[in-house]
Amino acid sequence: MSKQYLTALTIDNAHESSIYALGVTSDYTLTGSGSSVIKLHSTKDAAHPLVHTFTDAHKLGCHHIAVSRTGKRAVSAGFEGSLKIWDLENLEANGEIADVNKDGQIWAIALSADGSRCLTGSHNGRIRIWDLDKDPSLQLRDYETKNIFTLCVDLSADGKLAASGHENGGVYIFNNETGRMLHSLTGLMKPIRDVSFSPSGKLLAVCGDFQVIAIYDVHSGEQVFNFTGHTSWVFSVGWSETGQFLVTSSFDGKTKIWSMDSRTCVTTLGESNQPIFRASFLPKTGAGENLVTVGTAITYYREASGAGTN
Amino acid sequence: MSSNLEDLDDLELSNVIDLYQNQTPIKDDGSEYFGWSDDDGTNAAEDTSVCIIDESQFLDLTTPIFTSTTGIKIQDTLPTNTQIPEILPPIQPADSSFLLPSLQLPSTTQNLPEIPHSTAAPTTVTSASPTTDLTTNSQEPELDLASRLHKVFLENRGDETITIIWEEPDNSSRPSRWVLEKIDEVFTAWLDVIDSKGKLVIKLRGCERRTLRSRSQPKWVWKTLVYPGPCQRDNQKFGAFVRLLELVREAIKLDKIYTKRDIYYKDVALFGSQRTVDNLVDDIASALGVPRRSLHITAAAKGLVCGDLNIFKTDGSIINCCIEGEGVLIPSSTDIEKVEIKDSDTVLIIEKEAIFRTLAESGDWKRLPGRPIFVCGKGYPDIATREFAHYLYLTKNLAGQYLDFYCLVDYDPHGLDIFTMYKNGSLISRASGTFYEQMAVPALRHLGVKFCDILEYCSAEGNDGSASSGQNMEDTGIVSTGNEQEPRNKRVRYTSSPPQGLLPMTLHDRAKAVSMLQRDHNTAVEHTDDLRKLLFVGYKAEIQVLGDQLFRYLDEKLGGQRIGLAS
Repeated sequence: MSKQYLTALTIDNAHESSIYALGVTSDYTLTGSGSSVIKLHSTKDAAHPLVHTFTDAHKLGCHHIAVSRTGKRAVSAGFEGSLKIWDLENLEANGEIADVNKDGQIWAIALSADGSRCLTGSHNGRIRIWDLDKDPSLQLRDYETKNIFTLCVDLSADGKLAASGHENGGVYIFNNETGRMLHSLTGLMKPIRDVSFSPSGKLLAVCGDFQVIAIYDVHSGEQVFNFTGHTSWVFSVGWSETGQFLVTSSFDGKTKIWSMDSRTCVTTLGESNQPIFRASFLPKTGAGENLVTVGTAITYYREASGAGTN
Repeated sequence: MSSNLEDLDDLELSNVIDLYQNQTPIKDDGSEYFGWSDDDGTNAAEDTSVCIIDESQFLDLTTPIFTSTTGIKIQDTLPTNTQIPEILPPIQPADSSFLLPSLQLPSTTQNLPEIPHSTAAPTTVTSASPTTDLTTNSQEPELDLASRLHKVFLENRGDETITIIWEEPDNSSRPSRWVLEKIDEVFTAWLDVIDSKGKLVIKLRGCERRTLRSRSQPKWVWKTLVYPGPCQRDNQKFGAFVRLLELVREAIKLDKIYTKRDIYYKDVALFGSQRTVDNLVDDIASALGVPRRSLHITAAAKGLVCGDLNIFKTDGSIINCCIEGEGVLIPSSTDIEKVEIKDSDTVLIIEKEAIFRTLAESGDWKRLPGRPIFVCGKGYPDIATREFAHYLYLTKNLAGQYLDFYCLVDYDPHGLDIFTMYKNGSLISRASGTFYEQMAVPALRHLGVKFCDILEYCSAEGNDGSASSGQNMEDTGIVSTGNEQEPRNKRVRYTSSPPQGLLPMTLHDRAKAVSMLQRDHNTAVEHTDDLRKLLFVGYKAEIQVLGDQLFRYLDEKLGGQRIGLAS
């Protein structure tokens, strides 16, 4: 069984340079690139017009954006090593976290569902949790790992678990209530590009340069199964709202959608061989699961009506 | 001993020279050791503090070192010296072992003739000195013979201080004879001081190296050399200075040119590091107000060139750069009369010598589009290489056209930095402004290796990007316990097929990339985007990543550039 997708819109000149960061709420599609601005396109509107621009967000460019599920807050991480907090209701900047430790510059970021907690992973492998409702942001947890560059982090929907992926292939799951490491997932030898908790918080999807999407059971720490089919580094993995589908994007320009029920790849998208740095499902509005991907351009995909939606 | 007495002055001179040359080299960064490190502000302060040490303080510092006690006492006395504390912690465990032999032995052996000298030549001894000698003797009965002799040696020094100040306005047309005179001035003064047991102070007006890198006016700092210095370090410093002057003198007399590297290898133990030589040469040139060339010292030739051109040198010789198999060393710009380019219309600047050699040896350049001239700076280019590139930039070929310039560098922050150095001139010469125009090649284009090239040329063998992953999987590793969409992939570890031969970015690379982004983010768009990709993707690559695709790569890239397909 497969899904049919149509390219709904491609915004070619959204940014001057490659787009690295993507955050999707029901209102806005936030994108960050090598330029100093973060752009907000409308998510709902089928024409996806540009509705706002955060100017001078990151002087050297922005490489990660995380949004809360409620859509009220976003955080962005820039190449200069700082992290900025954005209020998406009033569309304004709302503080920043500048890590005092120079070696511990922030790289990866994630936000909890309500936006109150922020998880950061830094160059030296430190994983920290911040309370963004406090001003200045209060550090709640500080997990030490093996001093290996942190490429990605994620928080579970209920905020109880944190996961980090590292350059040497290390994946760690932390229990935020006890402040202890729950699992150290082994077996992956190459850089981990993205980790993502399923909406229920029971599974963790891991992808990276090993070209496989590995699915772990969070509580046992066992690898449940994996998806194979990508032929290059996989840069991002994201779940659909229901947890039925996974979307992954890879360096060779392919975006794949995987069904958790049939455990197969149901669609492969992408004609160019330009890297797709991130892909994400849009919040569900109709019957289909729509997508947005970023790389050299922002591309929206619409699921063709009439095709099987499981 | 009696034979030694016969020629006292000569003996003393040789002893003094021994003092400089038989030093135990301290295993420390030489530049810091000599106080000529980059932060000259602090060192200048140290130097002046050394100068104001008076004779009595000088004795306090040195006498305990010559007692026959153990290293513990030495450690007690060291902190009173203004210069030692910064290097004290690393050498503390070992200092008793190296200070005692190196200081005591020379003093025992070399100062033995002192007593006869002081008695036999009473004209140079002040009347007070024998009494001082007696009192110290009674106060400190534990002093052994050697230390007492050394004290006599020190106390017998006259009050005479000769000060030489080198502070000449810049004038590049001074003849070598003038430089020789200045050098002889120092040697004469030094001999006088040895003879009269006085003190020699040499002040050099140097340029603070920090200001070379900033945009401000050069700031003058004084480098002071004292003989005899209050500690061993000063003596070694002075020794290095004198040895360098001697070599400059020799070079001028013999009309030879020494490279800075040559000079370092003339006396590795004395100079300690190449940096010491470089800094000393710069200081002397700056103090005398002459260019380095007038001292008959140059930097070693580093750059290579290969291609269809002839270099006419000022001495009348012609270098044919067309010799297959090897490049030709790029001569200094002052030695070049003119360059004759034949039917090449492209210059390819290559970062790495290995790639340059590969291309030069194969002779493939003759078949490449534009018959490129290869220029190689071996990493960060030196002045001569950049001046040569600039010279080519201003020269027309036989067909009367200017050349196109391309740059092939590693895909890493340093490679991109080297590209900007050729294109814009270096930061240092940018500061002084005058050299900027002479050394840059503003029309230089970044040929590669680029991010997209890695995708295109370095995918798994024999395919162009759309490889099937199945071929590249091997056993072990991840257990697939679930779905068997492709059953043969069970129990396999996946090696990433495309692109291959990449290296992970280190923290140093990341810091370098971020600092380059800070510097260039609002000026140069093309390479800052590459820097961000380096940071985001986390892999760098060397030119060698192209492997045997190198020729095909150059053929297609240079061809593409020429017919305007360049992206």
